Amino acid sequence: MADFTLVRPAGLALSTLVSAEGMRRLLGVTLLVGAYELVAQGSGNRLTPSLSVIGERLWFDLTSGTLWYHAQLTLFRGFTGLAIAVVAGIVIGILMARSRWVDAALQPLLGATYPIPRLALYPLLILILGLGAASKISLVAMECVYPMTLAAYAGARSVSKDQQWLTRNVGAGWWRTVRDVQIPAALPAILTGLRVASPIMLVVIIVTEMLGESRGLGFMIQQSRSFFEPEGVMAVIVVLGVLGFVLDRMIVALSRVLVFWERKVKL
Amino acid sequence: MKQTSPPADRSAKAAARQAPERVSRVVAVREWMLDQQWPVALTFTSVVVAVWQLVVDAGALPAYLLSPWAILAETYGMLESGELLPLVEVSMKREFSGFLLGAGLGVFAGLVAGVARWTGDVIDGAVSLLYPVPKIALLPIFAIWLGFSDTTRILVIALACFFPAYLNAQSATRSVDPHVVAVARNAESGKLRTIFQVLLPAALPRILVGVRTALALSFIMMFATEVIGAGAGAQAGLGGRTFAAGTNGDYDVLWAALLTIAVLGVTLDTTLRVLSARVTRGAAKEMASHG
Repeated sequence: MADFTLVRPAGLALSTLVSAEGMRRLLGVTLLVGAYELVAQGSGNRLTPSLSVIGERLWFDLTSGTLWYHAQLTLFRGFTGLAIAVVAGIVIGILMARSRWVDAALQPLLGATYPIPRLALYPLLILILGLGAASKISLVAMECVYPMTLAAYAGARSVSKDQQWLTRNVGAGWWRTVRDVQIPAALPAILTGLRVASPIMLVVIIVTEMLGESRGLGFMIQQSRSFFEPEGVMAVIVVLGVLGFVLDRMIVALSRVLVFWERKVKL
Repeated sequence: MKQTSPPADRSAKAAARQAPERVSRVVAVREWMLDQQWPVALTFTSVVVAVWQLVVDAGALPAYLLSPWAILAETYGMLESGELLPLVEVSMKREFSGFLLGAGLGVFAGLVAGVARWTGDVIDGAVSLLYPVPKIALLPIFAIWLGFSDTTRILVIALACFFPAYLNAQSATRSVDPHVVAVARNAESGKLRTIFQVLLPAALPRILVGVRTALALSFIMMFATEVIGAGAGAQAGLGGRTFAAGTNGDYDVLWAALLTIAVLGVTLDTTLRVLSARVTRGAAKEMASHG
């Protein structure tokens, strides 16, 4: 079974920026961007557009409304798939935590199918559901349901024996135990699962849009590539990076509200 | 001998005497199945596969849904005809090169970042800038620079594998108990020796978690990079072949390629897990003795 720890870079939070550590991080960012800009200026061809050219393109895409048109579709499909995965993951995860039979039937299966890329099922999904939104949404849901299930399961299992006995002694039934004890107990883990699943959602939806689609951010990249406009590709890459970052921060903000009792844990 | 009770009564008594034993045996089997988990999972999977086979045999499904038996037969046929192995070779070469390059660099950079604070913070800054970008989005820009070549594919796979390997190695090295390092330094072990004999073994279990994530990612990226801008013939690789089969209506090829990818994924993951367990035997023992 895949273990469940979320590892990610410390990022560039404003609070750490003023420290010596923050300055060194900033130096890393500057070095990377600077190296690219040097190459771009030095090469003098269209292959590596300089930052200002990328910026101009980004501004153009933003103001002309193209970016919003495509991004809106990508986000709609992505979030629909993610929402399905969240609901399905929580249901399956909690059922696994509640019933030893479900646990025994599904846990080895989840472990065995985890290293198989669900993306390989996309051609099949196209046959079943067509090239439209349904196949893309299903693929996002199938890929994201793994981290969500594992998270909900791990979280619901964290209810201690004492808590379980207490719940039973005060006469809570099946549903009340799930609603009032297991879901709140699983919530921190579920939110961590969401932080794992959201970048996966972005990857899957982009890949499906790169294949036989005429809308969405993935299509925008492919179109710029076929028109031989590297600055167009770069502009969307920047947008995707910002999107990924904002998405993650949003989930962190959400967990501050939802799991207010876990304030001390640094996210 | 004198009969004390009618035979019917005796058998009922015998049944009553045996019942608790039989019940306890049923309970024992059930507990064993639930404990081991795999018998339940195996039964469940077998039932699903059998129902699938029966439904397909009944002709209730569209032509693109093949029965498990037909998929096995087609995979074997493709193996026999020599069509499958070249595809596997092409795909695996891309996947392994990308995985080894990306995970190797990632673990190395992670160790450096974990050991040397100053350099580590600089690397971390650069990493955090690229981290939120879906790595597959970089395929088109690499394709503009280098064409839809193997170099492009391998670079994109490597880039995707770098991040989990780096992040786990870095945080694993940073979270090694400083006392352990202090003891090593007090025992007058040199810098290099401390790194290789103390830090690395202590961080290894976590590092391998990252490597395993990278392996799973390399499979996804192999498929994605082969599907987007596929080559022709054997150069298509498993991903390109699967997708082309779907579009052309070669459903048997599609399923056979799917099965091959699944088998490869599970085999490589299991191999890595067994290897990791062997390499981190010491750490596992240590944990057990403490717990």
